[in-house]
Amino acid sequence: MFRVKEGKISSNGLFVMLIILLVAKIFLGVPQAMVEEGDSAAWLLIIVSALAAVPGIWVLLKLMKKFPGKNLIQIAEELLGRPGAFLTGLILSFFSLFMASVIVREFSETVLTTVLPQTPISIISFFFIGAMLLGAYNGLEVISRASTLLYPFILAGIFSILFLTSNYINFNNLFPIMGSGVGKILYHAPGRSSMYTEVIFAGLIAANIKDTDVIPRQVWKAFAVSVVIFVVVELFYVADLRVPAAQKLYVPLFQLARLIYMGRFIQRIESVYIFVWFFLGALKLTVFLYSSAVALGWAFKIPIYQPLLFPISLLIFALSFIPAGVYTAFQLDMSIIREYGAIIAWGLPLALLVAAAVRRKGGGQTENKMDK
Amino acid sequence: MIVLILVLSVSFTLGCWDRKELEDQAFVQAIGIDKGQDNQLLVTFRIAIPSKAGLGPTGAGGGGGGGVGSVAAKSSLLTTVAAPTIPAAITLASGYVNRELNLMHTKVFIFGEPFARQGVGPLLSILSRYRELRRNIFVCVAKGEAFKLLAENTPDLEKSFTKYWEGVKLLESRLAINPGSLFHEFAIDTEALGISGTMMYLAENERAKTAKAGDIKIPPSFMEGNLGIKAGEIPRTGGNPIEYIGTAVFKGDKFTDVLNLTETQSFLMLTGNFNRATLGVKDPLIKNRFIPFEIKQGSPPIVKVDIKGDRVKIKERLSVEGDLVAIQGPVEYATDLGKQKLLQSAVEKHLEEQACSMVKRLQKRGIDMVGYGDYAKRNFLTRAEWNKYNWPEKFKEAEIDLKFVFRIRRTGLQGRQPEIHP
Amino acid sequence: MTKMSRKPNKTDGRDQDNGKKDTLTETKGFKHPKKAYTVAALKELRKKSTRPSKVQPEQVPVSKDLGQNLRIISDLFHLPKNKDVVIREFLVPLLCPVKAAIIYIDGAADTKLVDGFVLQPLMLLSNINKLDEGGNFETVKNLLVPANQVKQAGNQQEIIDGVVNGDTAILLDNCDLALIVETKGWPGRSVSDPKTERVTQGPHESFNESFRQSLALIRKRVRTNSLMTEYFKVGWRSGTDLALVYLDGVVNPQIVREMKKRLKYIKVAYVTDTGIIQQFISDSPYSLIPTSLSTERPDRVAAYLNEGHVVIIMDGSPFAIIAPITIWGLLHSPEDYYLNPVVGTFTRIIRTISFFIGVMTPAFYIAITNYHPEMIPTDLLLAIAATREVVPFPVVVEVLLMEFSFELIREAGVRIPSVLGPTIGIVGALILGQAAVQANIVSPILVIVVAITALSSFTIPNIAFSLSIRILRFIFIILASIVGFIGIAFGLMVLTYMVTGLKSLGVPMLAPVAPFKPMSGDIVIRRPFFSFDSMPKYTNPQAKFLQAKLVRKWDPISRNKVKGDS
Repeated sequence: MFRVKEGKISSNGLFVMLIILLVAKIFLGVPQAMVEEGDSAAWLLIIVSALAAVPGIWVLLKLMKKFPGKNLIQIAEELLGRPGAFLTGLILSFFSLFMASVIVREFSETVLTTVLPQTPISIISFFFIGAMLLGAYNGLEVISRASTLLYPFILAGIFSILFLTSNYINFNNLFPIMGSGVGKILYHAPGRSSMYTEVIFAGLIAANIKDTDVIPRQVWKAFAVSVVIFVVVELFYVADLRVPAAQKLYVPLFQLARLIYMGRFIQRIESVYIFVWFFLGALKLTVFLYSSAVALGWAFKIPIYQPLLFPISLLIFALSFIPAGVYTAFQLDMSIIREYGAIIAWGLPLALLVAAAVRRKGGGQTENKMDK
Repeated sequence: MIVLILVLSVSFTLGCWDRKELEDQAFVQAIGIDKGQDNQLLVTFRIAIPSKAGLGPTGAGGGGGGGVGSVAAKSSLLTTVAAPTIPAAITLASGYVNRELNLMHTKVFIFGEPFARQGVGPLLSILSRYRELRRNIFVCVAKGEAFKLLAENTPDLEKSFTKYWEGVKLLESRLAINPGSLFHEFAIDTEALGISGTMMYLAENERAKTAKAGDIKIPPSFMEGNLGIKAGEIPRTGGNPIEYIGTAVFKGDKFTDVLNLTETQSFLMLTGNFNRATLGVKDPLIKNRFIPFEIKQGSPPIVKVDIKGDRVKIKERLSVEGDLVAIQGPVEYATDLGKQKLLQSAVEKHLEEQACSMVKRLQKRGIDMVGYGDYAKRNFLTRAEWNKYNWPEKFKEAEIDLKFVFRIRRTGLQGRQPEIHP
Repeated sequence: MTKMSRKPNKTDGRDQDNGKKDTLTETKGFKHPKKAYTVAALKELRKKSTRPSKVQPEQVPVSKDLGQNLRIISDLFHLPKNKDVVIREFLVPLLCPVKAAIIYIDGAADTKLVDGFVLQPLMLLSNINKLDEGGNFETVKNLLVPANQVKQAGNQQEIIDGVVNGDTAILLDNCDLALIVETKGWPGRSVSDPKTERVTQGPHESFNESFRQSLALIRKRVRTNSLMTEYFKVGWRSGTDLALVYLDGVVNPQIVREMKKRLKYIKVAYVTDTGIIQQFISDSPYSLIPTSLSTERPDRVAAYLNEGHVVIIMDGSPFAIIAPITIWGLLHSPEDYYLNPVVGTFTRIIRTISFFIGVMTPAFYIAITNYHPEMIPTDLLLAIAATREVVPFPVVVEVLLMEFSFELIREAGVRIPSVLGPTIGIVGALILGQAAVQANIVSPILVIVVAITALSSFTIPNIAFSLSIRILRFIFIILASIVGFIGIAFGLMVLTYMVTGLKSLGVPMLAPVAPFKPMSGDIVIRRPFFSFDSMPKYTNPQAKFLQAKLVRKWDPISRNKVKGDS
């Protein structure tokens, strides 16, 4: 049976990678966009949109449970034959590619606006792309290990920002408690559930995880942890800044870092957070590049995905320059990917699950096709 | 190796777009903004001169010449430029300062009074947008012109202005003589509906330079045991003529009023930002004797805002603790519990009067300094409802009820009063 | 990317006769033809050297004629010319006296042993009561050679092997077997202090160049019959002894198999130190971070053996190789274990921090002063700016100058005779720093930066690791000078990807942190020794426990803990 040559990781690695994928967006526009729509109840919007994402994730996991040890493309092949697999692979590949190019742009753009205003954007993008090329070239095992090594520092970085700005907290800022109103929150929540679209990555690498039976638990864990992180960051963000101001800031977490003022010594230290920021961005991009290449590999039956990396990263590099300015780039992320990404991320597994029900295939048989 | 040489040569010649050596930049320590002619700005920069700065090998003896100037004043350059915008002022200033101006280390923004009265709104944007300026910059209003204040500011103890301003800010938590406002706080308060912004208040004491110790005039509020003065009014001679006591009150983005020292203390207490200060209270039993306390806030204030239709009822409960520092009269407040109670209620009354008069004065003008609106928000479910309620108008009519609970915790190192024999 | 582009070039060089590619190679200079020549020449040389004469010595059996044997041997050793090899002919006065000869190398064999335990019994004691044990050879072997190790040799090669290894060969007339008697007497040091891994508390013994002594030092610490020492010979000319040491029943057999495989493939003329072996067996030889640990401390080796690692001891090298290792092992010093766990943890934290200081301080200095000046406290900033005003170079050049001169001092310090070394090092550093500051070539703060960097790179216990830190430092300096913190972050990210990809004998170098495995509390934080219940898991050792579950039975606190656990 055909396989793209990849490494094997433990489900722990999956957990960490999902955390990185999910949490990275907190450094970009997410907190601000949430306040924009949810007002002082931004945290509630996050929780509701997480609830909206639950069925999507459930469908994905249900599908994975029916076909243990197989990734989405293999499942599609079994259910819909070659064309199905081809299409699934292509969709996943382009989805990742598109996300990656937007994120490259956003991260580079924020570096430019905050610390290095005169450096050409291509240079900054080059550093991100260089890092992700190297990581994706080394394969899944290395990405998962690097994530495992760095994610404590990343989380520590995020929480240290929150802790160091805690002198600005004013709980009155969290009122009125319902923010923009229940109706608005419910209206925006389904679209915002695409904050969690990255979970689909679990379906893409399902075939490379050693302990298949604990995948659902790890996915739920990663989902829950990132929702908690989102909520906590959002609460701090709104409590530190009043809603009107919170609705206007780009790169909210970095703005919080700029606010740090703890006496004469601990201030103006936001540049240190560039590290957290770069690690998070580079890791996330690495995963996207990797999944784009691997999905393409599965779609075209290319057993070695490494040669695909360079062309794909060139594409990402080129695509990332399409948005004209920083505002368009952020709009692209917040209003297209984060609004309609859900359709792909939740729709694809659902379609496959429906196909499985119609064809009456799968059902958790423990046939061991992994060794072939 | 070849790659290495290539990278090196590239990095030395082409690259390094943002690389700026420290010695190629002029670091601005303070900026003053005044109203110029025809709505132009008068921007005053206080620029550090590194070679004369305190720590430098040549700067150590900078103040050795004696005379008027302080080390800090001598190790920096003061210049005022007229320009339509701050970036334009930076460009113009670079035209003769010989180095690119860098605002990353700017500690303080001082607005001249005429400018502040007209409204600081146009400048809010640059402070929150421009990457070199930070949201945690200190903001002050100067009595008169900012450039004059910056010029007269000659710190005596500090060798650099940065440290001087840090010291001013520190006095917020040490003695509560000014609100220690950061731009961030001012900006978010100004933007919000339920609270108004504040800045520190600075003024030059013109009499301090010329007056002699013998003919210092005592402000009338001192007779009440009350330090009801603001910057520029300290009865004194000598020292840095610039004073930083009091709070500049804003309505919207316009500077409208000043709180004096005691009012500032009350203000900080009411908002829960009060840390520690001294307080002098008239002895309830003996005339013309005062009892100084060191007071601190026991627990954060409890605010309740009841809204019934258009009627607003605001209740605030504060708990303040104090240590006796001295008793001028012969009454044994330290050991006699009955008399202590008397003293406590006297202090409570004193604090209440202070706070009430301040809050009510501003309430009449529709300024919600303490941010009762913030608490009022809790009564609403959504922002739309809150916005509709029109708090600033309703606040004018609100009923405000302040209650202080004061407890004497410690009485210093001594029990009974010293006996004085004739 | 560089990897990809380099590969085709290599093949270009090899397929020299391919006319098309010649045009390609021309642009690159003479490199390729030269390479091709050396490859071809090497093949020739190998052919020659493996066959010194037309007939292989192992094909020549020991002849029954002593004279014939001696002729062959003298021929093989180029005898009259070669002065080291001694052939002593004599008569063994057995029942029927027999002609005999011994062959040994002067200097390699201990002459006292040869005299007292080979010649004396054969020539004198054989005379006392004439015995016969079924033939002369058997008699000599069983009765007349009171040496502890005696081997039989059936062909010339075995005789040569024995003799070049310092043993003595006994040849008897009318006998088609030779006896190889153990008489090794190589000169060598006695056991002395470790030179590179000194500790304040803990054993002060170290391995030395003598194979047997080194092995004995391990045996001294691991006294069990399951301690295995498998011998290998490496180098067809140096004929170096290698021992693969491991604890049977503890170590994962796959690791032993893998190591044996790698050792087997070392086909070279000579090796002179374990450092060379390390390059042969390394998973990624170009990695800046060593993938095996070389140590001269037998206590360390013993500890690693007990935790399921394999060790290589080589004759002639005072350093043992330990594999597989993790990157944490490179930051550990045996002292950590001998001191209180709190102290041990503290020193480890210091070392871990100093790794980062050593790699990144100069880069940080450049990044902060050139790109992120807001991070420096204003007064310090002004002070730095003031000192920089008289310096004509950009910070990068300044840093590179200082770092380079520091590297000079360090390199010189190693070569300077040991008595003068430290003095000159200090003097050089002090005078250079001071003078450079006074001459306005560098700013005084930079001297602090460089000094701290230098100090911290010396706190790393592993020499190979501390050397690679210095190279990493220069890479980070360049990155920082291009885009500041982004450059450093990029460097760290690349380093992370490289390190996480590193394997030592198939074990990920960052285990048990990434990939995450249950930890034994022995990484940066060192738990007390009595809590090291289980073996480190990342090597999949056969043995599971290092100690009993309840080692502090008398201690009510730990007893309760165990009860609570179970």
